[in-house]
Amino acid sequence: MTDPSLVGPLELQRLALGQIAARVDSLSRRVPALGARGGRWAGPARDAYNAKLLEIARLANEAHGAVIAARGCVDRAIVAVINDVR
Amino acid sequence: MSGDYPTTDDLVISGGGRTAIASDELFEHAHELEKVGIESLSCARQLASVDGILDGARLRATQAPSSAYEAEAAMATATATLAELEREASMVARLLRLSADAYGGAERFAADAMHELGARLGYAVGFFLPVIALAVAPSVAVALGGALVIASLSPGGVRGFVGGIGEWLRGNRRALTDPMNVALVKLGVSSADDFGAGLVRMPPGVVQALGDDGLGVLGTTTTAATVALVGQQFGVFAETPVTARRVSRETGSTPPKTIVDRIDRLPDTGENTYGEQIVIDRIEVPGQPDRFEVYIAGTVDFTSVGQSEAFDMTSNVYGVADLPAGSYRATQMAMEQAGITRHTPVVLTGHSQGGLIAATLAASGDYDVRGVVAIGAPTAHVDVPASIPMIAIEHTDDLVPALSGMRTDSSAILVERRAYAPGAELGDSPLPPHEKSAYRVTAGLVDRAHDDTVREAIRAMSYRGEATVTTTSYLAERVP
Repeated sequence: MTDPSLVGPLELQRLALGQIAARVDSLSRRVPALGARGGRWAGPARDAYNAKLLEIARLANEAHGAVIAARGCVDRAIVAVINDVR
Repeated sequence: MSGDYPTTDDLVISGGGRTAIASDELFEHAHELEKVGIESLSCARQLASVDGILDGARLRATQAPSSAYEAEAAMATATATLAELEREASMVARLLRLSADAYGGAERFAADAMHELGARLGYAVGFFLPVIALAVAPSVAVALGGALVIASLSPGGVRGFVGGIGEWLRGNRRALTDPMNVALVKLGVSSADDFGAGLVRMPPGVVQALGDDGLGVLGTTTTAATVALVGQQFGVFAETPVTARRVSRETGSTPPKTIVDRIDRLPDTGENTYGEQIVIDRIEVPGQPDRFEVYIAGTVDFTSVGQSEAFDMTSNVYGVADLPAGSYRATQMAMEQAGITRHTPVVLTGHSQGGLIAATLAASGDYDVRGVVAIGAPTAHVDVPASIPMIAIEHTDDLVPALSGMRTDSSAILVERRAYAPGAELGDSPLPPHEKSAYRVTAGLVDRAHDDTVREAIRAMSYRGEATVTTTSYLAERVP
């Protein structure tokens, strides 16, 4: 049987992961906003820069997805521990 | 390169003791990406500490469900991705700053090359002028004769013909406000001393030793001083004693916090009661020494023969020559009357000739200057100490700042922008990009700039607390 003392640390992780998810979400929104504007640069340099920004935005989205997934797993783990104890 | 400037709200920022030149947008992107990098690293660290709450041994010991192991794996993935995000964002930010440095280097190289070429060309033209004059004299005589015949046959005679040239200039302001022509004027002014040196057949080695790259004896100031000296022989550009008298005083405004605040306080000589050219704010803060803001207007009288106006062309020429111009001396008098000593903190703001006075006062070392804002002013030749934050705002289509030649000192923060798009309606003013109203628009962009150097300079020169402000206006006049 699962040790019920696991619930406390899992709850702590769940709470912290919620905060981190919000921070990473905010990060993932900032990067595309930079690429959306025109300006002094033009042609290939601008295209290459925008491609790099897209790559950074993809990494930020991936990180956000992984944090959300981790939080989902922790949620399920808490439910599983509680059910097991019952 | 100034001909390539876009006609958007894009600012090009350089100086401030660094080598980079870039649009404010580029600095903003670099700054934002640096923040993304820092935030990613912070998130990765927080995630690692959350991951550490439950390690593998604890999970096994407590017979944790499989989802708890899956959470560990997802957190490890997120941490690694955030670390990669931090590396990428920081690298792109570094590349942006490097490109600003590289652009600055290329721009400086091009400017130096143009300066050198202009100097050599000026020297050669001056050196061979007598020969050139002899060769072209007959053609010039024929051309002048032809022009006189045409002029005398024109409806208004010679006077009308000359007036027509003025009309042409007014009708062709586009030529005067073309950034390429403005850049050429800048180059020409910087090369004028070399032309003179060639004319008097000074050996090239001596010219170099005495020039901008050597002792600095020859330069824009020498050229202006020569103009003043020669002008005096013909009854123009004659300096006189001046006075400065207080004409109004009021209390109740707030300390300026932005460049726009300062531009709004510049005296409007055409609109105010006495035509006063100098306004001084005394900012009183309990428990602290009083600080002052001085606002200096631009040229009022554009004639070269001294009347009662102290802010005239004579002051302009003397100012560029680094000689005690009437407007400069009058500003000093007003500052003394306001209670400004060499130990009083003071910020100086000026438009056009006023900006030249502000920079010269700061460079004199006679005052405790905490900041200089020069708006459309010919200040390229003035060496303001690097310890004093100075923001010079110049339009690339404004002829006036170009009249001091090419900027050799990189300690002042230079913010450039093209005020009018090609083909834009220019209005009635003789030099629309030089107007205070045009600079006010640019100042708004400067206030909102993301560049750290600009923001720090504005912050350093502004008092943001509660204070009592007493505003006094002064009228500067020549004494015939």
